Amino acid sequence: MADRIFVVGHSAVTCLGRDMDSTWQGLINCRSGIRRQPALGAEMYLQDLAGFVENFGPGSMREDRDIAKLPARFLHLAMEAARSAWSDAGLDRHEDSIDRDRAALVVGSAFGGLDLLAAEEARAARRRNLAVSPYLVPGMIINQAAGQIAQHMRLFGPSAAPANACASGGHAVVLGAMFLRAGDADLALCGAGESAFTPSVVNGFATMKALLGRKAGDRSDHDPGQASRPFSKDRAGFVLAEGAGALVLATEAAVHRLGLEPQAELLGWSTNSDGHHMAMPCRDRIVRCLETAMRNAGVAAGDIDYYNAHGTSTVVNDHAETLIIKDVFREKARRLPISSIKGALGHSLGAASAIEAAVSVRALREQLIPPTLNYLPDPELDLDYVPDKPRAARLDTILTAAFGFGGTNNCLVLGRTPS
Amino acid sequence: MTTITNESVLIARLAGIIRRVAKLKPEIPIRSETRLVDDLGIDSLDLVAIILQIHEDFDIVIDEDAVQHLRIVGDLAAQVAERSPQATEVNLVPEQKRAAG
Repeated sequence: MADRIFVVGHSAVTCLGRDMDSTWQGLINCRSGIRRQPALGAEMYLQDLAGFVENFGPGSMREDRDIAKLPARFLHLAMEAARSAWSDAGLDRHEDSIDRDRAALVVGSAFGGLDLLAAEEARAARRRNLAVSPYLVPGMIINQAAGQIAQHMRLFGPSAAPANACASGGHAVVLGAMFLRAGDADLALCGAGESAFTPSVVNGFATMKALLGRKAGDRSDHDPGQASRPFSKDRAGFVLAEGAGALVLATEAAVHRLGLEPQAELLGWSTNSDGHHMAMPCRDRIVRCLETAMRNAGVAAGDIDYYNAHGTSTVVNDHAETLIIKDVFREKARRLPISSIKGALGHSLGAASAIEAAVSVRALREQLIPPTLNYLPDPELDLDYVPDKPRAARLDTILTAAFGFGGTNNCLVLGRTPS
Repeated sequence: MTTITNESVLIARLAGIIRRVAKLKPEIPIRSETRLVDDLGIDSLDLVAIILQIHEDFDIVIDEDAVQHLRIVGDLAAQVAERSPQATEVNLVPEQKRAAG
C-alpha cells in the first residue's frame, strides 16, 4: 500500500486578505475582493476591475535584502504564502528536527515576473544604452520563487517550478506529492504565486475575450464585486487577480516523527494533457483526469461531498465544466454541491488552484462550503452551485480541479482527518 | 555652523543611491571611505545596478574598465566628478544648493 500523504499546513494570500483566516472569513461572509483599480487606467488597460492584495508590496522592512531587490510581485506573494503555510504547520517550531535536504519545494506561476519585465522595458527605453537592471533576469524567472524560498527558509530538497498556466498551483501539489511518494523528501512545500498586471497580459486576455471586458450596463458598473460571476447566466469573462497559495505536505512517517497535526489527507491526484487546443478545454480529457484522480484516491464519484470548481466565469469554461461534472458524477451530479471561489477572488491564474487547494483544506476543517457569488440561474447550467451563502455540510471528501491554457489539467482529492 | 562641501553632497547622493538600490538599512553608515564589498556587502549585481542608477541620475556613463577599480564609495564619487564636474551643483535640489553654499 502506498505511503499516505497528509496536508499539515495551508495558507493563502488573496484580494480578500493577506492571510488564510481573512481570506476564509471573506469567503464565508460573501465578500468580494474585486475593486476598480486606478493603477489600471484606461489609457493603458482594457479593464480596471481586478483583485489586488492591498497594502502588500515588495520592499517592506521585514523583508530580507536579497528578495527586496527583486520587485516582481509573484515572488513576494509566494514567499508570504510559503512562510505562512510553514508556520501553520508548526514547522517553525521544529527548526532543529527537520532534515532540510529532504524538504521539497515546488512553487509555480503562470507568468512569473512579467511585471518586472514591463517596468524594466519602460525604464530601458528612457536610457541611452541597451543595459537593463541586473536584477531583471533573476527576478522574472519562474523558479526564482522556489529559489528565494529555499534561500530564506533554508530548505534544500528537490525543487521544481511548474508553469502550467491556470493549473500551476495544483500541479505544484501533485509534484510535491510525487516527490514524497518517490521517497525523495519527507516534507513538500507546494504552491504558486501570481501577479501579472501588465498591459500585454491584461489586454491579451481581454482581446481573446477570456477577460471580462468594459461594457456599459454591466452589473459591475454599480458594484465591482459583481464582476466575477461563475456559472451565472450573465457570466462574461474572468476578472484578473493576484495572489498566492501554499500547502505543506508530509509523509505519514514525518507526521509522526515531528508530531505534526494532519489537517487533511491528500488521497489522490491526477494530471493530464488535452492535446486538443491552445486555449479551449477538452471535455473528454478532463473527465479522464477527474476519474483517474478518484481511482488513485480509492474513492468513487458517490463519495465526493463537494466539488471545488475551476469555475472561471467565462462562457466557455463554466459550460464545459458543467458538462464534465455531469459526465463524471452522472445521476449524482444534480445533488453534488459545487462552488467557485473565483466569484469572490477573481482569477489569479497560476496561483488560483493553490489557493483553491488551501480553501478546500479549510472547508474540510470547518465542514463548510464557501459559496459562489453573484450567481443568476442559467437554464443550461442546472447544477447546485451553492449560490450566495455558505453551506454547512458533512464533508469527508473534496475534489478540486484546475484546467490551464495549453491543455493542462489537474485534480486533487482531499479527505477529512480527525480533528 | 557646519559647512557642507560639494564633495560631501555628492557622497550623500551616492549613499542614497547605494542604499536604495542595494536595499541597505538606514542605520548602516555610508561615507567616502566606506568599502563597497567589505563594509556594505555589495555584490557584482548590486554594483552594476548602482552604476546604472548613476547613469540615469547624473546623465553620464561610467565604462566597465573603471568599474573594476571601484573599492570605496569615494572611488565612485571620483568617477562621477570626473565625468560630470558640475554634478554636485547642477543636479542639486534648491535646498541642497543653499546648504552647499
